[in-house]
Amino acid sequence: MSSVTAQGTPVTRRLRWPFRGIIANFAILVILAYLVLAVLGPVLAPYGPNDIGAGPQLSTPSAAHWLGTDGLGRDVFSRIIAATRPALLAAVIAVVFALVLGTAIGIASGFLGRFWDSALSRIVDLLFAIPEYLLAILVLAVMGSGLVNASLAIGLVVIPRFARIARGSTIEVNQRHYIDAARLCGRSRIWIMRRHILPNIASPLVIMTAINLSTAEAAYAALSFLGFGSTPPDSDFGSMISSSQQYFLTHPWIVAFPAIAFVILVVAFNLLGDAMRDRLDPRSRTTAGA
Amino acid sequence: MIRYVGKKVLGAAAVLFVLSALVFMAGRGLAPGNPAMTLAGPKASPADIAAIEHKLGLDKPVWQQYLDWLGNALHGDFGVSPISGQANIEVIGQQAPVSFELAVLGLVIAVVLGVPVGVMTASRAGTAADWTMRIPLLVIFAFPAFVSGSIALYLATHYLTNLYSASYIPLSQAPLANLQAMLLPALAVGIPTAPLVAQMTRSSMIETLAQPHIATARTNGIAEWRIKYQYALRAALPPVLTLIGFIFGLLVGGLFIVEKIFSLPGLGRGVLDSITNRDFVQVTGQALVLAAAFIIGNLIVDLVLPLVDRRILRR
Repeated sequence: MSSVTAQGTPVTRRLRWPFRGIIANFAILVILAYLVLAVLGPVLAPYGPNDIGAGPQLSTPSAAHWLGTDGLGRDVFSRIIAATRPALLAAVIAVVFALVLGTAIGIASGFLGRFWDSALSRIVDLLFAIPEYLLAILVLAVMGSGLVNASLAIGLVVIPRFARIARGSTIEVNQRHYIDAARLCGRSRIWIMRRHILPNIASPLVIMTAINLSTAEAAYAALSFLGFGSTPPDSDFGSMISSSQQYFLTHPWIVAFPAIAFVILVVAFNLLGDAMRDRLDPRSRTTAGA
Repeated sequence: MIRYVGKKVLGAAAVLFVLSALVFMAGRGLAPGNPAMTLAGPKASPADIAAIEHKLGLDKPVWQQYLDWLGNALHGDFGVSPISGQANIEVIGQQAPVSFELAVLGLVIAVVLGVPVGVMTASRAGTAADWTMRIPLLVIFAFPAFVSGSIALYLATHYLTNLYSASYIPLSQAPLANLQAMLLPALAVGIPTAPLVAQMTRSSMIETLAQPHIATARTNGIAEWRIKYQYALRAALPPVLTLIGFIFGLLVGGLFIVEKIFSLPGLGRGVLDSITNRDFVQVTGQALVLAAAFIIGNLIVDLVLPLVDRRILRR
């Protein structure tokens, strides 16, 4: 009896909230909170993020300035809120860029095989063989820094991961009988790739996307720390930390608060990635959460 | 065996070749609009500019510039920076040992911390002890090098003043003083990498510990630590080693950041300074050496791998 009710109607099954466990749901809540801050930031922030002299310089956390002020008297809390927008944007731009290009490369090389496979795989292997940060920094040295360029550089560096996963899964799916059936029906290769391959390799790609959101997030902060992020005075987690380095020894909170805000976001993305994997990867369920 | 070695060496050489072209192009892309004109200054005559162009080889076609540059680089000559006037190889000769030492120390720290934790958590998978060890690791992994580096610097200058010295001294001059300057930066490079090593070791160990030969060893009454560290770990290591290229990548990323935080005169900071100064000659040499070290490191792992797991040769 219970098995019948547990299955329910197709509609209710599809609408069920996919994530179980307190940790995964908490992570999603945290990410949503950051999203709200990113969207409504200008409304919610008590001061303008770039207002020099919003308060006294280097003041300790107080009622007027919850998280203190930095060396130019800018409100740290407002700057942290302003930093959420570029942080989330960078992660999304980088991962979407890598997802689209990497998937296209991976499907093409896995499905078309032969010449295409060896040519595309060489390129992917080559990208993999270059140290990620060096590649990103060189690209940015030529293209110039900034939010979009930094995100695209990160995306470029992450492409091989998506391409490899997409290629492997495509080769697996390509051996199924329904692909042969579609071929016999005279479907074009583009049609098969779009209608049969893509939906069937979606779940490993979704896992990769979720995992790489946190990687991209951290990479963007690192690049912005090195001075390749959004242009000053706009705030970024990375540049907030690097520009306050000189005060860090005497006024640690100027560095500590952005660092904490940033680490919470990365941990949340990490946990989201793990939750996606647990949810979608059939293998991870058997290995005791490895 | 010879085929395997040959294949790996050739592959690495091919990657290095393509990479050198990319690095060269990046250098040219970085160069100011017309480098010779910029260097000559606003009052220079066309003849002066032409002379500088000729001196830098900029009057030749780009492909020939590249081949000249590559040929010289293979002889260890990376040119003279037109901006600082220093011979590139001298600058690299000073910077490379710093980065190399930092990376090696960082790797050692990551492995010494990561592997035992991976083994310990694997054999207790799913228990409370497993989680109490893993959650801090997850948090540390979320701490990027620039945060952990800042924390390390803070601790160093406030509480560990005896342990840390801010001035860098080459290893060859005074090994102890050198270690004093390098220990904390190395920790800042190694600690964020350790959780990754632990995670890889852990998942590989979980698979190995479920194998029949481990059960056989247990029924034979072999001590548990020996089963874990001698039998299982050896079988679990190859997959971890194959992912070490990933770890090298993290280490290189760590170099850029940690050298900047601790003001260490290494290649990572050198590349960043060259980019800031638009020193297109110097940056190519520095980036090429950094990338070559990374590729050679990966090649060494590939060559060591068959010694741990001979099955690789048969693939």
